Amino acid sequence: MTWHKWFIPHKDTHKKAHLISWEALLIYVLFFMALQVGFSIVSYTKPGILGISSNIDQKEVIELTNKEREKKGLPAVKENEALDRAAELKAQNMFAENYWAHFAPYGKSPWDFILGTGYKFTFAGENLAKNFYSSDDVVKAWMQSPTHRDNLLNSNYRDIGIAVVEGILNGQKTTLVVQEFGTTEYLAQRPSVNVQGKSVTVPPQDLFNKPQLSVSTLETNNIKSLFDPFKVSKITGYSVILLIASLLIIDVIVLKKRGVFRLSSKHIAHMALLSLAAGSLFLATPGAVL
Amino acid sequence: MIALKILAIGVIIYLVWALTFHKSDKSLTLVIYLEYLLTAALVLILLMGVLI
Repeated sequence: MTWHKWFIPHKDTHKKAHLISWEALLIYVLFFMALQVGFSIVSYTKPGILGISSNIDQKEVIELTNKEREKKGLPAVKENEALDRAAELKAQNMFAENYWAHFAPYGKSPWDFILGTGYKFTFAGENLAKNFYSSDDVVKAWMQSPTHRDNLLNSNYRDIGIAVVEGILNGQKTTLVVQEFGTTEYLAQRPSVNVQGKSVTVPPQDLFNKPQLSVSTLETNNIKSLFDPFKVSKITGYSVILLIASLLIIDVIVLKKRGVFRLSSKHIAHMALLSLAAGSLFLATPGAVL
Repeated sequence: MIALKILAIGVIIYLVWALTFHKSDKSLTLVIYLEYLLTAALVLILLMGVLI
């Protein structure tokens, strides 16, 4: 049996083990490309099989938001039923029209949802998040993004509404978190909405025409994703890094024992890059904010 | 995304160092060049698969 050729250098030619040859590296690269293509195909053909299962609590997001505001000496925002409803409508609309944005592709704006629930604001704001595992992860991600942090720590806001809604977005089970802020107190300006660090003035005609929003009930209770693409990618990534690093170490030890020199690429450079990749993988978290 | 930026910088340093070192050492062959290039591509694809 020549199985050892896969793991240790050749006994006569001292050629690298097959599993760390350039051909093997090419196969690893193609495998990971195929994995990503496979995820896209599964998302398209079997919606909901892939996805992230979150444990995000609506009340906890409000609590954590207020904790961040208190740290900066800002008044706490109070949960408002109309804003809760606006946030839920917004999340449902993103699933129904399959988009991830502040402005819907078919024309709905953030204020349409807020005004549609009867909340007559003078100043409002919206933060979005998707695919985080916990409430803490969501608020941390907003705080790490300058535009979302500015929105969360805006002193004009008095009310808050949060929705945590599960559904299928782009073929994957997704948990959307919509955070709506607002105030009905008079501010010396025309009503505006803060999205992604930009203050957008609400067109006057939108203020007088209460938008008609269709409310749909999402069938989300039965969504059970089988694979978390983030975890699958992370685990296979760690496995390949560990395999290559181990074989590089074995290669060095075996060549030293044999007392031979081989013209080759430098293992220390590879190990340094693999360590950096492992560290980056460790730091990588799922989820996105908008 | 910060992790991806750090890794991208690391990959550039790795490739530039590899080219400079092996050229000055007169040991740059196609196989050696491919090993560096494929290792760089592999780590980038690994992280992009997780983040994007």
